[in-house]
This record gives sequence, structure tokens and C-alpha cells, in this order.
Amino acid sequence: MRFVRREDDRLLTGQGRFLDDIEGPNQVHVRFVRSQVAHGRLDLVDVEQARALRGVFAVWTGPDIIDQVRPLGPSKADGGVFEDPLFAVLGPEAGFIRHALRPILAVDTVRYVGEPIVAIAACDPYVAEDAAALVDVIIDELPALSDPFAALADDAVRLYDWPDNVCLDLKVSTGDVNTAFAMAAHRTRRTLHSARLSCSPLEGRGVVAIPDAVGGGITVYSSTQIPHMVRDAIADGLGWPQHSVRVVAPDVGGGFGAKAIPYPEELFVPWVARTLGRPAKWVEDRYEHFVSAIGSRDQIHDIEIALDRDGTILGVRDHFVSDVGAFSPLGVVQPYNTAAHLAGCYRVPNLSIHMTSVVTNKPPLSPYRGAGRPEAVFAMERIIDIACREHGFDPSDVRRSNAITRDEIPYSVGIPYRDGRPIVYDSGDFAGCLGTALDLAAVESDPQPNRGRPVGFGIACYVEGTGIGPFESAEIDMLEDGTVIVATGACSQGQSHETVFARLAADVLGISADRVILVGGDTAATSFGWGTLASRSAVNAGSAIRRASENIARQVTDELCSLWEVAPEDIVFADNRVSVAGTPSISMSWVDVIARFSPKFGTPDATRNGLSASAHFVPETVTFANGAHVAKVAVDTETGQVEILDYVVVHDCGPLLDEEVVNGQIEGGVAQGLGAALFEDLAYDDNAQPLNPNFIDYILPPASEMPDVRIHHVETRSPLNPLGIKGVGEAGTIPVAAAVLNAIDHALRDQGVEVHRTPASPKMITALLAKGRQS
Amino acid sequence: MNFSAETDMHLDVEVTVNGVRVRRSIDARMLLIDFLRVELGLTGTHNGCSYGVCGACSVLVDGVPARSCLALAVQLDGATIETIESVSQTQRGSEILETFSRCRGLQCGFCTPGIVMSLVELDRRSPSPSPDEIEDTIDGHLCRCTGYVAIKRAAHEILGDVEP
Amino acid sequence: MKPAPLHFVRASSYDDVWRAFAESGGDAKVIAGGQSLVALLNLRLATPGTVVDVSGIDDLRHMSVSPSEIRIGAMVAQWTVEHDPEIQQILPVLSRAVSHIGHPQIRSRGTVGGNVAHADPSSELPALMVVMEATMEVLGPSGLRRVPAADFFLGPYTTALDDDEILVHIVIGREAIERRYGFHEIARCRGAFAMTGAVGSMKRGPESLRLALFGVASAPVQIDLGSLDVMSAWPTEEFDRLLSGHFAEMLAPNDDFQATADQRRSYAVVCTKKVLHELLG
Repeated sequence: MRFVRREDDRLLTGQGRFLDDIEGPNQVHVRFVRSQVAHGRLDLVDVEQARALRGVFAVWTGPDIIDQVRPLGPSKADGGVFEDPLFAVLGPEAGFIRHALRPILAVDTVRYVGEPIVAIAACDPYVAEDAAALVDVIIDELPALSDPFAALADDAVRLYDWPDNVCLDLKVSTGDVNTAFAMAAHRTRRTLHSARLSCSPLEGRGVVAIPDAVGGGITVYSSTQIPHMVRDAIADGLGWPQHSVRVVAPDVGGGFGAKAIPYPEELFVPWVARTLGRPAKWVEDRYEHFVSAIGSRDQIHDIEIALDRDGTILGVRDHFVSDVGAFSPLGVVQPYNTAAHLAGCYRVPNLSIHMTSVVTNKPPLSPYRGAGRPEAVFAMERIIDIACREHGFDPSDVRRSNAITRDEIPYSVGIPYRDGRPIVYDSGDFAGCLGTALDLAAVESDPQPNRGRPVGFGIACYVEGTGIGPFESAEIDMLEDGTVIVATGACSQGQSHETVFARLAADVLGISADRVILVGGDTAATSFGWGTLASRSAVNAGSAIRRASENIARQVTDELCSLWEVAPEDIVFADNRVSVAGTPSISMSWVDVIARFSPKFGTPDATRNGLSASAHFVPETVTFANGAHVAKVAVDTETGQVEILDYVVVHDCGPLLDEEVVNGQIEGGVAQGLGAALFEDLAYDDNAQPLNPNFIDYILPPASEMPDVRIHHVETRSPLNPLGIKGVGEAGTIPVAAAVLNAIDHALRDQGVEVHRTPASPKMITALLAKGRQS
Repeated sequence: MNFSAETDMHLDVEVTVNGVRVRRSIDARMLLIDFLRVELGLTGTHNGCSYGVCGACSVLVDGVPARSCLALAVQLDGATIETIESVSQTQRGSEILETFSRCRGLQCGFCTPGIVMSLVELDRRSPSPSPDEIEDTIDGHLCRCTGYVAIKRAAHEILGDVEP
Repeated sequence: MKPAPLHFVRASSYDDVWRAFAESGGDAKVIAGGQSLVALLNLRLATPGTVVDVSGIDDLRHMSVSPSEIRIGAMVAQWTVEHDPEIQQILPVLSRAVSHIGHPQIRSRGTVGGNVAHADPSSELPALMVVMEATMEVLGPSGLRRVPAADFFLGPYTTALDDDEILVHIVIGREAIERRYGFHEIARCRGAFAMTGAVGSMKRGPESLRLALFGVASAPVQIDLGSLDVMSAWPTEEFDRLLSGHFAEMLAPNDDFQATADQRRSYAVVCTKKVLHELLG
């Protein structure tokens, strides 16, 4: 069989190795007893019956382990605590960030339904669950917060020993917003809400820790996007030296942000393995994913736009509140990403943004695919449409006239990015992308109904800072048989790294890609690594691999130029050989080339160190991808159901490394955006009890809800990396909710309806229609 | 797995899995998915939800697709079971896998085995399934990576239908 | 998400079933296809001490189809009914209603009897059984009872089955087979539970209409459109208004995560109209 992706050899034949497929000899299975109460003090935790059950090895409560497994602090990737370039630029007057420490097992207080209280190690998952059912937990309930505005009230219960429930308050601005609004011909202000979402990769989280047979170290397999950060968190939290912990991300069944922070379970399971002296395994079940993996979005904007008489955007003022749940391990990322992308592809000379993040008794919040940008685009693109309707402008015209053109690039927005560098759009043709999308979608202002259902078009544009630093690593090692080992800190959760990254190295070295072995996500393979998140791996790992490959080529060139007495530019890497241009008789196989670098008897000379190279790509700052989406929808006004009739994506991520992979990222991203637009809403009642922590009521969009996506690529090169590329992992998701809800709003233009919140469920649409009929 | 449930809860089960007859004495509560994955080491079948919605665990039981998380292994005494590990053993199975790969029907690959098993069954049962039948089959599976576009393309190509 | 410990009994006769029931002391559950039960076991929402597998009882696996009667053994798979060419020809609404249950990969093992005995208020088949005036043949140690569908569904997951009885056959008579049917349901997406649905049938004129709604109450709701005196207004907006008024009084559906009570009442009107359009043109 021949498969087009390297990964497919194993993934299509049942030979993949996902986390739960890994077994250690005599492993114990860990099960957590999680809080069923959103907020309260632990009164009684009785584990005696569980401990006595046959097949149970050990049972632990919070006080049992607090001295040995330190609570988790903010993630290494977060600003605010570590030396942070953003806060350095904004200065202390811009605001503050607070971090709560996250205990591995709750010690005296529980703060969300799903927080681990007790851990059990048993002979198999069935018995572990039997034991969990025998644990008796009594909790004195405290008032629970499930609404961030209630949490902001003066008399609200406090989650922490803080003066209020605010964990981040930050302001950023450019221009003179007050003057702009005072001068404006038109102003429109609304409250716009992006619902809380679950990342829901089909594979949940999980950890297997296996003590090494020799040497006293431990190997930790984790279904993670960030193995190096997990290694560091384990070493820090358990007080173990970094060299003794090897973290490996095996085949990972999707991540989307859910696996991009270190979790308590990732520290605890290795500790269990070490404590019991045998392998330990924990595999998250689907309920646990809903209540204990991070959620995201949950952002409410009070946004106002000022337009000139001709529809020119004069300014935007926005105060948004993020409900971050009980912990916010990447506290600055989601809100600041929202701020940094709010202006998007438009000229907004005057911009004032106030971010407030509030702790409540929901599970922790951290970025999910899009990471603050879908929220920004939803707020901005909805307010543009609402303002257009209110003041009689055509939404296409207003977008066209305000979009930044190719000639204005590089374009400076006037506020810093999260890395502290000024936001400068480095490449792109935003107005061109928009125009192409409008043409392809054949946008009409008053489309005909479809089978009796009103039809609307919705437009949403976006920019995305991609390829954020600090760095990514690449190490290349050539074996004597000609195999090229390429190791990088980036790891794949479906992004086809083994195929695309292997080809990057192969292309530089003129080697067929099947001789390149890619090792991603193994801390034993590269000392440093950051991970796969934030649309960063192609840019950073790709560039690092390119540079390391070029370094190899340079070493070979130097060696052979002197041997063959030719100029460097005459050396050709092609057809699995190194040759002299125009003189094919002078040529060497890679095995022979590598042999020239191999240490041998009697070669004490410095060049005989093997053939290897290492590179760390450190980007100056992010590079901006951009695009425009247009949705065409029909709305059934009797049922509130929405059908996507057409969906157009125009997208610019620079030169395509692999068009099929890029299309796959966009299509998958659109599906997740569609889920957010129409279905997904992780909801809680007034006591912060989850209302739908399952796939029955938290509906992931199925195939029949997914339209064909018409994709058009625009390729403008980024000047910021050797490949000229921009990231693509999140782009497909970012503008979808905005485009679809704009389209629904447009379809219902005659029904007295205005859409302010995701998802546009039948429940919401029928309620809006009923309200529209009354007024 | 060494269940500690009382031995009077154990039962014998004999099944044919991927052409091999196996007999085990197992705890009555053991799910088919755990029987395949843990008892037999066939880890290509994946658990995504444990309540039959996601479809990642789908296998063929006596030729029809079934959720292996929604069956106790002891229910299947005498049954014939096929899993993803068997697909490449036939010419047609190999063609299906190659087409799935060529159409980029998978990204992370976690949901893929279930989808492939459903397509293998539909391919056997229906010489020219309607687009609706194909969609109904794929709808029995959740995929969070691909957005289904490439899966639908692969399915239509495998099943000889025109482009969706 | 693993089942609690359980005893498993493979029954090959009805006597085996009664014995297992008796020995379990009332702590037994029958497993048919298991598509609902095993999910409940995994979630530990059901923790029966004994699970009785009735798939070995040949009588339950039998189905006979003729223009005068359709008899479906309780263990016949939904998939079998859905794809049966004779049923597709003489009672297509049955195949169609079954095709709305879950997904093909669920219907392959899920049984018609299991679905009916589970009595999920949002399920299609109970309402269809009521409209077809099907007979539920129920067997216990003391013998066979024939329960009309209208008397079988008592509430959410509650039927007229006594603790020591099982559903053995579903019998659909000639009269039902000769009627024409309409069916419509509204769900969030394919494969999702219906928020609301309606099934109706007609022999000749509108006076022979039968209609039942599902998803709007704890069990299927029969609607006698004749006695509501709305058909004279069909198919005008007045019909919608009148029916909405009646449903507002008659129906008290759940407010839940997917739909409000008002929404379900209004869906009931939509579904009724779709069914009538199908029946009356």
C-alpha cells in the first residue's frame, strides 16, 4: 500500500500509538474523584472503604500529597509572572494580572465541578471506578458564581484571598478615542457574547508514567501539545532534576488548545509511578474532558464603533469581560489576543480596549483554536454589520472602503502585540482578499428566499498573528546509512508534521523524503522545545528545520569544495547525491558523504564530528495571516434552524508548503467555527453546575451540517522567516461565527431580529423571532 | 487487566476476531472495546466517549457496524468481529485505505478506524449507495479535525459515487 | 465510564429469564441490543446486579411480514426492519421512523423491542406504535398479555411491563398496514434526539386521521384533530392559530437545554402541519 502521508502507514492500519495504547508492565490505573459541587469547603473525605477494596493499591487526598506535589502555577507560556515583554512595554499603569495556585488535589476548598479531590490507584480502570464510588465526600457549600458580572458585584463571594474576583485588568489604546467619538456622525454600541466552548478533541487527555528500567529516571507519555513545558512543570512541581524526566507526546488525537497547558494530572501520575514503583496510567474520560480540561471563549463585549458620514471607521471602544473560571493558567493570552486582533484588517485610527478577566466557579479557561481572535472578530464584525444596518450603509461597501490595502503594508496598528513588539502587519492584501471573497460568493444585498426560507449573506475578515515565539528547535543528525533524523520541539496532533517537515529537510538536502525520520515531541531528542499551538509550528519549527538543513548543506559544501576544488555554488544537492553542477561524473552518495564526517581510527581532526546541526528559530515577532469568509445561509423561521447554503474562504498564509494540508486545516477550522456558530455552548446553571457535559447536548457538528467549503488561496510572502510563510492552524476557525451570525442576521433583516450571542441555536433564534414579532 | 470482581461473575466467551478464533474467561462487565484493546491487544479501535455518540470505537460484528463501547463482550459469544487491523489484509480493504489517504480523509487519525470500518461495511453491502446513505453513515462518526470535507470526498470515491 | 460489577445470564428460553429474575431478587435488567442499556451501565446510571441476555431466545428474533399482519420479535434489529424490502413496500413509515433512531451503527444492534420498551419520550417508535394501534405482546411467568400501544407507554422510561415481564412481540394489524402515514420530526442535527415530532395516519378522508406527538410530554400524546374542531380551517393561518391555542392548553412539555416549552409547542404545530401536508397534500 502507498499512502500520501507518512503518518498514514500506521494510523490507517490500526498501528498508531495513542496514549491509551501505551502499557507499562504491571501498571496501575489512576482514577480521580472529582467535585460535584462548584464551590465549597471540604468537610469530610472518607476513603477507607475505597482503600479496602480488593485491587486498590493506594488512595490519596489533597493533604496526603500537598508536601510532595507542589500546586501548579501559571504556565511557562504565560506573561505577567515570568519576565514578560508585554508588561514591560505597557508599563504598570496599564493594569495587573493575578494568578492563583492550582492544587493537584483540592486541600480545603473546591472551586469548580470537576476539581479533583481524591486519587485512586487500582489494578484496572473498572476497579478504580468501583473504588471511586466508595469514596464519601461531604462539602459545605458556598455560594457559587457562574456569571462574571455577578462575580464582579461588591458583595459577591470571593474565590481567593483577593480584594475582588478580578484576575486581570488591562488597558491598551492608540489615538484619541474620545475625540473620535465626539466628532463621529454615527455611533453604535452593543453587548456581544461569545459562548463558552469545549475543545473536545476526539482523544481526551491522558498520561502514562513508566519508571526507567535503568538509570533512575522516568518516561512520561502525555497526550499533550507541549511536551517540553510538561517536562519542566513535572521537574518543578516534584522537585526532580530535568534530566531525570523524559516527556514524550505519542500519536495525539487532536488538541486544539485543550492540551496546551500543563495539568495537575500530568504531575500527579509520574508521582504515583515513582511512589508505587510501577508504571501508572490515567486516561481522561469524556465527562472528565468537559469538566476538567480547559474551556474557552466565554467573553462578553461592550463594544462601540464610531463612523464618519461616509462610513469610514473613526474609532472603536471596547470593554470586554472574560469569564475564566476558577483558574486561568494562560491568563494574559486569550484577552490580549482579543485586544491585539480587534481592529483586524481595518484602519482603526483610534482604539481603546479595556480587558477584565473574572474568576468564577467554572472549570479553568485557556485558549482554544483561535485563542481570543474569534471573540475579537465576532465583536468587531458584528458591530460593523449592526452599525451598517442602523445607519443605512452597505456592509460590503463599508468593509471594502475601510480594509487595509496592499500598498499600505507594512501597516502599523499602534498597539503592541503579546510579545511586546509593535503590531505591524508584515504582509498581505486585505482589501484584495475581501474583494475576491465578495466576488466569489456573489454577495447580494437582498437575496431571494430559498424554499420559503429567508436568505442572508454574512462577511467576516480577520488577521492572525501567527508563528509567535519565543523559538522552536530543530536538531538534525545524519546516520551512516544515510538516514536523516530531524528532531523538533514541535509535535503533531494531526498537522502532518512527519510529511511536511520531512520534506522541508529533504528538499534542502536533495534527499527523498522517505529517508528523513521526523521526531517531534520528545524531550530526549531536543533539549529545548516550545510545542504545537498558536499557529506557530510551520513558521517556527519549519524555519528551524530549514536552517538546520542549510547548516548541514553548508558543512557538506565546505568539505566537498576543498576535495573537488570547486566553488560552493557548483555543489548540487539532488537525487539522493551530492554532485558538481554540469559534471555529473563528480558525485558522491550520501553514505560516502557522511563517511567523510565520521570519526575513524587515526582521524583526530576536528571535522570528524559526525554530520549534525542544530538550529533554533527565534522570530522577530509574529507574522500576519489574513483572510475573508463569506457565509450564505437560509433560516427556517418556523424552527429556527439554519442551513449553510454556501461558504467561501479566501485565505493568505503565504506560500503553501502543502496545499492539501492547508486545506485540511482550513476545513477543519471552519467546522469548529460552525460548531461555535450554531451548536456549541458549554452551559452552567446558577449554581455553576454544568448543564450539558456530554456529546448528547454539547453537539459537535456532524458531517451533514458541514457545507462544502470553497477555498481560494492568496499567497503573499512574509519577510519575517526564511520560508516566507504564515501560520494556518487556527485561521479556519477565527471568522466563522461572525460570518455565520452576520448571515443569519441578514437573512432575518425583515423580522425585527438582531443577533448578539453565539451559538445561533434554534432555541435562540425562535426566541428572537418571537420577540421580533411582538415588537 | 486483572479484574478483581468475584469469579462467579466470569464467563467464557468465544469469538472469531479478524479470522482468528479466541476463547477467554472474562469478567461479565468487560466491554467489547476493552476485550479487543486489552485482552487481544488490538489497540486500533479507539474510545472517544463511552456512550455511542462519537463512533471512534466502531467495529464490525457479524458483518454489521457496531459500537464496541456499547456491547459487553460476553454478549458476543460465537460472533465474528472485524477491526481496523484486518482491513489491509484484503485487496479491496487496501484500496479503501489508499483512497482514504489520498483524499486526506484523516488528520490526527483517532476517529479514523471507526469511519473506515463503517465504509468497509457500506462498500460490501451496497454496490452503489446513494449520497444520503453515505452521509447517514458518516454522520455516525464525529471527527474534530477534518471538517468532514475530505472524508466525504474519500467516501464518495471509495463507494463509486460521483463527487459530492 | 465502565460498568459496575454484574452477573450476566444467557437465557435460551423464557424459563431461563423468569429464573434469573427470581434469583436476582428484582435487581435484573434485560439486555436486548444494549444500545441504551450499556450506555447507562457505562455511566453507572444503571447498576443492575444481573443482566439477562435474551438474544438466545429464537422466538424473539423472528419477524413475519404480510399484508395482513407484521409481527416483530423484540430482538429484531432496527436495521433489519429499516432495510426489509417488504416493510419498505407495505409499511414504509416504519422503516422511515426507524431510520431516525441514532445512526446506522446504532440501529445495527439496537432492537425495535428494546427501543419501545425503553420508552424514551423523545423516541419516534412509541408514537408510531400508538398511531398504528399496535399490540404489545408481553410475557411473564403467569402468561401472555396483549397490551394496546395506547396503554403501554406510561411515562418517561416507564411502560405497562410488570417487573417480571418482558416485551416479546410487536404486532401491527391489517388496518394499520392499509393506512397512509405522515411523519416529521425536528432535531438539532441528524442522529440527535428529536426535540419534537409527529406521526399521523389516514385511511380515507380527514375524519379518519390519527395523530400522535412525541417529545412534548412524558409519553406519546394522541391528538384527536376532529374533536379539536380545527380541520375546517385547514390549510389556512387560522388553522395554525387554532391549533396553537389548543396546544397551549393541552401540552406542558419540558423546558430543557435544547428547547423551551413554548418552542416545543410551536414545533408541535409545525410537525402536525407537515404531517397533514403529507397526508392531505
